[in-house]
Amino acid sequence: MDRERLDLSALDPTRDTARWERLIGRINARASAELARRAAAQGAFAMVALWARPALAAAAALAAISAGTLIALERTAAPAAAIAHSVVEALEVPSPAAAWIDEDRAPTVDDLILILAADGGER
Amino acid sequence: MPETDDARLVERARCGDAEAFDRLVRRHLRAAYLVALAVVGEPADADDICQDAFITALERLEDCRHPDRFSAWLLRIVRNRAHSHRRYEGVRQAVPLEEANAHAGAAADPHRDASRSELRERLRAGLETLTEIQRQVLLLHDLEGWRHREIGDLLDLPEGTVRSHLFQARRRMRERLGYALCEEL
Repeated sequence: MDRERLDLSALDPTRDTARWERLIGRINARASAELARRAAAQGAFAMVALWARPALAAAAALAAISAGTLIALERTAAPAAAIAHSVVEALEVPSPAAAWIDEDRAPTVDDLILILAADGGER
Repeated sequence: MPETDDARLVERARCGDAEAFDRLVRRHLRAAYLVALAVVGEPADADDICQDAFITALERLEDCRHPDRFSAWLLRIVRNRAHSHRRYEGVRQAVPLEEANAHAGAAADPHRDASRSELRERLRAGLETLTEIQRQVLLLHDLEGWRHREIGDLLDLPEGTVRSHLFQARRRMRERLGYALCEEL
């Protein structure tokens, strides 16, 4: 026990219980609007959280299905060069042109002269 | 109900839990009131300041970075509001405290427990002879039971300075009020 301590209990505001409770009541009453706002915001947040989990699960499932489909297509698809060759044959493209299409390059001036000459010869 | 720490109550109050906020109020209102009283001197003003401070604290709960030290954070709000109030009410402060207290005491407690009421008025008058810091130190230590270190943290004072203020405050109060202040052991 601190022997120097002064007895200030007459100033203790909690001694007047009724007054003290009124003060607490006033504070709580004034706080009620802010507390309600916070509770409502918390409710909205909880709602978002509630929907977020299934939405994330659905997105993950869609991503998995899409990835599987893409991988399967990659495996079954014909090589691009083979497709190009088939198209060239089907369109009966002249052989000089078919060559640079097959090689996947831009035609040079020589290629163009060659193809024009071939075209003229056919006529 | 088991005792819950401040950090948990603050967390619940942030979510709008009225019961948690009520418990924070009941736990810290007396210290808040004493700090406000030490600054403004008027019980009714201290009431108003406490109300405003708790509402401000609730609105700014996200700013309380250390919820486990809610008390210190709250009391800083109380002190700031009390100082603002005192500046704003500067004209009213010109009224002698003894006179104001006499009116307040008469209105609140006209007939009951006259000796206690008289002692209360004498204590208030005695407190008015102290500096604001001395009043805060004295009330928080001798009435609220805070330790020197806790008071120092609140008032940004070294522990030794708090002890010095407490010593000076007690001495002046004893000089003014005499034996009535000595705690019965």
